[in-house]
Amino acid sequence: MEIDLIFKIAAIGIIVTILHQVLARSGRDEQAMMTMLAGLVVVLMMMAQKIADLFELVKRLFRF
Amino acid sequence: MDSFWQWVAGAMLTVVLGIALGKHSKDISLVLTMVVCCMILLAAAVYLQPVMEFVKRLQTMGQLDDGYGQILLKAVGIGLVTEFAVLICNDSGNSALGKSLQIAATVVVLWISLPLMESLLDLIERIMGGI
Repeated sequence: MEIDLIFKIAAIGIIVTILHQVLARSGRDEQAMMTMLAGLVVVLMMMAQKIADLFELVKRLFRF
Repeated sequence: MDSFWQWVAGAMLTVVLGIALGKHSKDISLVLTMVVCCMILLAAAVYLQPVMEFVKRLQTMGQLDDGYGQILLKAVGIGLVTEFAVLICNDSGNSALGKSLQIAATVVVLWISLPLMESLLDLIERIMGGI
């Protein structure tokens, strides 16, 4: 099990949250939202790979 | 067997990280949960491989039709993937989406098991015709 991936996603979440807070407090709401969106896309890309792996495995294992 | 304890530890760690992240960014917390679910299922599949081979061996020993076994396996696969997706939907608060997915999976399983039902019907017809 790749524990480092869990930490990687959690770290991205924390960094994005901090950036969001800092930007929102300084009045740059648009940039704060963009940062949040970028973080989400990065994490989604990681997730998409894993989900593709899982579906491929299920297809192979259950002879679809 | 050792890896099982790793999965348990990973799941508990994810719960803590998910709660910590969930206060500020719920979306990333949900993605984290989904990734860990995928990782655990991927790791568990390694142990499922010998079981599937055993099922195949049983099938050959019993000289069963491969088509029927394949339908059964497909139904199990659909069930597993759907359960995973439904749980994620429920976790994120979209239970309507999860429920409709469950209904859709039931319909698909019914559709793929049609040949089994047809052969059962044929058998019944043959037996009744014989009397």
